[in-house]
Amino acid sequence: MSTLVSDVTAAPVEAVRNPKLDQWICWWSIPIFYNLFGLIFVYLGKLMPPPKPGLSQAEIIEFITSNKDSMQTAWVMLALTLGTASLSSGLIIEQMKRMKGVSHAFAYTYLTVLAVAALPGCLFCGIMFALAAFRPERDAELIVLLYDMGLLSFVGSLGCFVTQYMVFAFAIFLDQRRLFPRWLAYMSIWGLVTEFIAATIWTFRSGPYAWDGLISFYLGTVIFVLWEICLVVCLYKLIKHQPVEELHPAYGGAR
Amino acid sequence: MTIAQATQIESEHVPGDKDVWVFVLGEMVIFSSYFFVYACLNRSVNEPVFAASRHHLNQTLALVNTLILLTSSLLIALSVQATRKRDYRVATRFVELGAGCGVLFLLLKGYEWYAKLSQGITLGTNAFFMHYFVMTGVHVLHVLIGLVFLAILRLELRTRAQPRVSLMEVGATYWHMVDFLWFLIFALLYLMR
Amino acid sequence: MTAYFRGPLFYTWLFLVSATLASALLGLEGKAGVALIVLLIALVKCRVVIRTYMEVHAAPRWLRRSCDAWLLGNALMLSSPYWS
Repeated sequence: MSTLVSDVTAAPVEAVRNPKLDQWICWWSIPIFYNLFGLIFVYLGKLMPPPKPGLSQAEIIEFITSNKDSMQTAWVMLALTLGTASLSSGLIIEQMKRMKGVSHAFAYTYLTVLAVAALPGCLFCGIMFALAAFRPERDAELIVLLYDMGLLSFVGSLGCFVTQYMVFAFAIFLDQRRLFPRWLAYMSIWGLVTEFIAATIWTFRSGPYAWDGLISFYLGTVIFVLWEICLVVCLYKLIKHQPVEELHPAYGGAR
Repeated sequence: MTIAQATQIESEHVPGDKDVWVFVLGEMVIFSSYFFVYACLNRSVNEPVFAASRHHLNQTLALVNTLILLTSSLLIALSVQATRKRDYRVATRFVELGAGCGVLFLLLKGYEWYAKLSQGITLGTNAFFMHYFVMTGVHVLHVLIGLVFLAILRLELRTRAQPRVSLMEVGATYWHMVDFLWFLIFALLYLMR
Repeated sequence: MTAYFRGPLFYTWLFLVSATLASALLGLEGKAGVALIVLLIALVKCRVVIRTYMEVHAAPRWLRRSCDAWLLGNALMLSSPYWS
């Protein structure tokens, strides 16, 4: 039995494959997912930038029927690929668990909250528009309802993201190893504030605070994209510089 | 005594750290976008509505609030100065007073909103009040975040044998930003016609 | 503690209070050109807080320039509706 144990720990595993391959797979899932997201919501789904909130019933029906085919494709794609987003959550949690002086509670909160967030974050919107696109024979009033439900939930405030940004910022501030840079924590606070401002879209059908507004949509999206890009770059550096000993015990580290 | 001597800055020095300045400069730009949509978009359409609506605002209350906030800035600046002089108990007192002013600001702002709401004026009443509630609302959110920063400063002063001046500067920097952004909101919403 | 109230930081406060009261009085006037003066006072107050309280006067050039650029940008943007 002791010879078996020493065989496992003595073998130089780095020579066999990249020890960080699993993390790199997760990392690559992020640009892949967001490119798909862009294809689905911008190009096929025609929801980014969103159509106007103040459209009449006839205009809404026209919007959906004229884009019916691309929308159908978009929502099938979303349904099949949405799960990809969880790979990035897994990666972030893995890196958050390396922090020193921070309990894993924040990492688990992040994990939980993003698992919830997928639904109101984009899936609910996708389902509403999938319904509208696949069931065009439905009552016009129902189609208008689906339109409102989809876009209000998509652009509107979501407390799950407030929590995500908040625990991420807390964890970064408390981390004694300073794995993630402090400025990323501050950028998370920008994101947090945009979630609060998004509440105005429920009241306004036009102007800068409507769901297609300069502030509610465009500024919010710019801040989110900037944050995501910075996060991806930070994750890249973290994986690259992570000492191999910190990985699985097979590579010589203690866990 | 020059300002530099009073605040004991020897040479070029980033107050706090670069990270908080990424934050503060970003916030400044973001707030400017709120100012932009208020002041520049649809100006000719909005002007009569804005002029009429402005009469409903309680200028005196807002003036008092401005004075409260700028006083809190003085107190927080003094707390940093006291920390540099290792006068930690005085520094703590200044932070508490500064935060107290912040709380007072929030209470008066809450009363101001309550007065509007009881008159039936809400976020959706007209374009002016849309901007009024959003700008003052976002500012209130930043005051709350600022109070969290000040709480951290107080904790630093109370729990550490050698409170870090750089941390004090970080918290103070954010708080002063909250103060000067209010100067512009006060001017734009209440005073400029 | 009262000794702290004898430095430049306190005099800055006095200036800010006076400037605020002055702009509030002007704001009550309600004349057209007055708005630009009120805006100017507000921006000057911002600069004073940035330079003195936030200690940017002793900061590296990039920071001083960035803050001034923001002030100038806001001056242009917020005065633009008044350019006839």
